[in-house]
Amino acid sequence: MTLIAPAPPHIDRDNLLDRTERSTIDRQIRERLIAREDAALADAYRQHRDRVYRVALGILRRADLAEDVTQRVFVRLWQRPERFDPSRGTLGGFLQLDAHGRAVDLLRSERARVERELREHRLAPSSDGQVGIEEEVMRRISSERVRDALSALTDDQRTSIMLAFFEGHSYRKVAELLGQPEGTVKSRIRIGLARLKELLGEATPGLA
Amino acid sequence: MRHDAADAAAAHALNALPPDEADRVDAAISSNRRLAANYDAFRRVAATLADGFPEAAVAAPGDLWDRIAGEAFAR
Repeated sequence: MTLIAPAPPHIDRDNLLDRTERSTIDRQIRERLIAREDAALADAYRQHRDRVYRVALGILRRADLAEDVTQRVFVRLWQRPERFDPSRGTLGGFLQLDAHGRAVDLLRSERARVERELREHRLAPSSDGQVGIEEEVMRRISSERVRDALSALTDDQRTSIMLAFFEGHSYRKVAELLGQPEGTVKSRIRIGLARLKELLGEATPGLA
Repeated sequence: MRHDAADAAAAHALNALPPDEADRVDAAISSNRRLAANYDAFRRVAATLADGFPEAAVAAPGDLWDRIAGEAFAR
């Protein structure tokens, strides 16, 4: 019989710790996971579940799918803890981006299915829904700091990054939606991210 | 470093590459230290952007941990 530990209470510690403390805790959790200590996964889940779930839900907008993604992220952390490298960022950031990647994969496969069905019914997907999408995405962003940094980008950079990251589109789809060459969109993403790095700087929680 | 490689690394940091391109960029990153450093920096920016996703109106359900523990610790 498999014994299941009780659900750990939530503590959002990432926002309470300085960078050194967070790095130390992340390294300890990684070592305990590699040593196959069950409680280490419970600790990681307690500390990071809300931010992981939030990212998945933000992309997928469906609780059941967001739960599945959250489950996959933590199970994979248990199965392959060495994938997290503390020298490259925080555990919270690693888990959030893992959730983002899995949610995006799921979203794109669902979009492809819907578009395939529309084509079969001789209906083209409308691009009208993109009108005002940037304003809608910006309105939904919960972090004032992130909103301010995005606002400092050029319109082209901001739109490309927001459609790619917050709406989960590939750069090719972003290029299609904006009627721009794919290479142009990729360059705008790079230049925009470099600018965001300057704007968000050393206070960035993900910067280890 | 070529701009197109850096462009691809930036798009990859946002999970905005199709799978075939992502695999190619991963291979390039693993063999190019400077490209890897750029990718890591972009990835950390992306992690900060992730804090901008809206707070979930409903928290993750209480039984989610049971599901995770049941799958992870199944012997």
